[in-house]
Amino acid sequence: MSHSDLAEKFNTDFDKTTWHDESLWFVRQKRDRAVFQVEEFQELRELGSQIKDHTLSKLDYYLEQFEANAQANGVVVHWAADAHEHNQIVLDIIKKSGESCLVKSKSMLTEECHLNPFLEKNGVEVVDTDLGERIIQFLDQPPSHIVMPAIHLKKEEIGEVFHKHLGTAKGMSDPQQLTEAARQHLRQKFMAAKVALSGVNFAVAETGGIVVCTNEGNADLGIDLANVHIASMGIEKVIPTLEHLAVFTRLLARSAIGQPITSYTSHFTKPRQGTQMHVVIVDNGRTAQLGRPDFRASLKCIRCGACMNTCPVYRRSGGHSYDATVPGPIGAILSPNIDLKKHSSLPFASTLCGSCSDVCPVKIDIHVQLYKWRQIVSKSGDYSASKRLAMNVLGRVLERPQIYGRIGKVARRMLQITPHALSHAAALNPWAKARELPQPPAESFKEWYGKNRK
Amino acid sequence: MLSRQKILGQIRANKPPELPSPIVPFFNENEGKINAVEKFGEVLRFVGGSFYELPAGETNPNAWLVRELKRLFPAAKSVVSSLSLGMETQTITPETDTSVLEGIDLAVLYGEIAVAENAAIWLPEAQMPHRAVPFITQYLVLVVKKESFVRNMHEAYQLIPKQNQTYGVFISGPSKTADIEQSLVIGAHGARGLTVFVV
Amino acid sequence: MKIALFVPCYVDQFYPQVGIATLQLLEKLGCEVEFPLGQTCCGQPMANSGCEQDSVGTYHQFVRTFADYDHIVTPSGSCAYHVKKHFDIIEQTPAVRKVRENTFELIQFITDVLKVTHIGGTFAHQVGLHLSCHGQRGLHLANASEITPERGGQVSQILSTIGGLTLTNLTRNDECCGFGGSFCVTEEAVSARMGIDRLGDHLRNGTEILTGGDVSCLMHMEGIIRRQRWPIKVMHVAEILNQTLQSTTTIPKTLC
Repeated sequence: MSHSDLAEKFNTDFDKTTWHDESLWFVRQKRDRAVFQVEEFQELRELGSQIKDHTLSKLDYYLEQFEANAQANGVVVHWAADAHEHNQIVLDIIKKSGESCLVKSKSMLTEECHLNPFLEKNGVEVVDTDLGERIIQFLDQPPSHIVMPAIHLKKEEIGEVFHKHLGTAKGMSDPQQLTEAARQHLRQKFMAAKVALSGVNFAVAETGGIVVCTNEGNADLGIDLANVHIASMGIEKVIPTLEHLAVFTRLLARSAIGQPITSYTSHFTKPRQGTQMHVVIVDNGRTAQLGRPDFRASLKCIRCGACMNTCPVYRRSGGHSYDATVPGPIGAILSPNIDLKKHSSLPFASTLCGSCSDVCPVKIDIHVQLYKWRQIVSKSGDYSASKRLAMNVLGRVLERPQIYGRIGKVARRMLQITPHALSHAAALNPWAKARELPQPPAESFKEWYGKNRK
Repeated sequence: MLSRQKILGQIRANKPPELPSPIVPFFNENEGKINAVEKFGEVLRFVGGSFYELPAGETNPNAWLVRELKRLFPAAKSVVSSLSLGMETQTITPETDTSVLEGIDLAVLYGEIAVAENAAIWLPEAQMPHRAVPFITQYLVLVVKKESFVRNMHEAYQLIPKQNQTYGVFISGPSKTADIEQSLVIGAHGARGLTVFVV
Repeated sequence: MKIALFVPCYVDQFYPQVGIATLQLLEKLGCEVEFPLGQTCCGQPMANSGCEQDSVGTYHQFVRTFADYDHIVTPSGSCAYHVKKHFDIIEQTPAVRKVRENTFELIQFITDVLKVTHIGGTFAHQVGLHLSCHGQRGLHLANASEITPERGGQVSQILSTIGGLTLTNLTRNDECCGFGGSFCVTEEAVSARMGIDRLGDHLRNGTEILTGGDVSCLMHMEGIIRRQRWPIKVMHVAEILNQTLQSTTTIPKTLC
């Protein structure tokens, strides 16, 4: 289904749409307050942008540097060309360890690779340990937001899920109590698990270490108690130095949730004595995106989610309406690279208001890329043929002033004499579902000008 | 290794011409104008932590610490510390079993760097009896020396050696989550509370 | 100084009064304004729908029509932005470059080129200003709430010089209204909802007259207002300024 169909469904519940919009606007406001407290924030955005541009322009060099340093630290580095290879590598590591349970902290990459169903099919129990992730795992839903995976659910719905899966009291919906129940439940999982998987926020080339940012502490708790740590990263996660890391640690949490930094910014450089650490470096379409000059800047994304919180369309259509691993404005420019056919409606799920580009901590020109993806979609087979024809005809009319003038006059006249019920029939005219058409004036400006000025 | 060659080859074919690496300034024009300790305390309270400074005239920091800890955590049965405070109930090593770690009520550790702008404290593995301790303990106390305060992350990373790192964490406040309807809950998986003492 | 008035296609057809107000306002400010008859549209309807190639003929028609003028002024931030930003797909001849550089949104022209920042007169109403995204973030006519807590911009500045006029203090200063070109029909549900929410902010905060620099946003919101029968009147900012600026006497002729 297209974004607009799913968004229309979402909007049938007026009050829930209001609630969703306001929840995310609240996060946007927290972001504003945090950002405005840092005098040099706009300079930091520019630095973040330039560091990422530089890194992408020498990506092979920094990945090799990262690899060499990681190996010197005793880390095993794997390379995966696509999702399947990534999943197979992870499965092999787990099998070799002789374990059958994996605790996992948040990783959008593993969502992108559909790792969980693959491992489960192969007999591995996967426990997502981020609270939001655990909630949607119980519901067998994908995350609706990259930072707040369960933002689309009301606390009563979550209470119901916990009642079913964790045996909490029926009707319990207090976030404090629900979080405590999850804490107790997941502590048992942490104690038992011997293999832990995490995402990677930043991989530092000069140290060969990876950095993971969480508020809950679930990544560390899982990894620090396990014997095997697997870290999955896209090739674009590498940055050159710790000096550069300083910039991103200042940008990330402020942009994401309005916190000055995440509660835990963890630097995993060497495995704990007697344990293993693996890093899986994944391409899965990223090198293709690198080769698209108009779209390569999307690889600068640090997954803060600020563009989702500010997007007036995302707030009123929900993350699931994007039907993509990464929803919202950034998802709408990343997803067409992976599957243009499936995601052809996403570049149109925007008014091009530009707020996404304004909040982006690494200055990705998101709304410009949305416009550019539209140009590509229209040339593909996934664009409505009638719309394509209409645009072609419109173009021909608008380049010919006389024809444009005559057609305009006829159209206004038609609108004047067409009964309201017909001109405003929702089935024929989507505009009129919620809006009146403009009242057609007797004469156009051009006609008025001819009579009054020349 | 086929994929490694393939990925690196595609990057070389597709990457743009080299772009310059920017110079990252320290953003310390306000040096002197900001009281780093004061700012740190302010931000720490904002992120849900508590903050205590050694009172002026107090000559025995350890005695003060023990007094305060006993006052703040009277119920703590299992206490772990790397500070030799005399109130430790057990010794933890990297080999300690998970079942023992699970029971820790209070961990008192040294933080090496304290960052004013975000109340983050740098805790490298050398300060952890076991990597899991700062997370698995119910309550975490970090003790920071007055001279360990810096203004921002640029200054902080300047102090962290690039070589021989194993594991280290910036900790800012207690474990928290807002995954349920954006309601902030302290104590998700990690420590339920973070108290910082400045000595 | 040769000034051309560009009246965008849908303004020409549906909102001639906005074109008239713009022309009269510029004349009152001492400008001699021509309306070149070969004009049609900036090409945005096709381009924003992804069919940029179909707008190339319209771009050329636009350049042919306006290449001889020093300034091209339009009561639409969105169209001005489109000319400046998206006419980059045709060959950048001197004429194309000249047209792109010299196309101005009306208030920007008044403020930056004519250097008029005071209009005066009286308009005793509470006015809600809708900042169009293309004007605000595209042409930087107003501060964006993502970048700075300071509110302010050219339109609000000039409106604030009018006696008796109060500007509505909106809860969300610069949220998009949801028009978005073809978005308004392809994403009808979200578009309508955004418009309803935007107007809700104005209603709650006492707007009597809704204004802005982009007719497209106003057309969308007016459609909702009329459907809902909400007590808000819609006027383009040119109409307000033209109404309050009674004569040319206060403005030095030499400017134009």
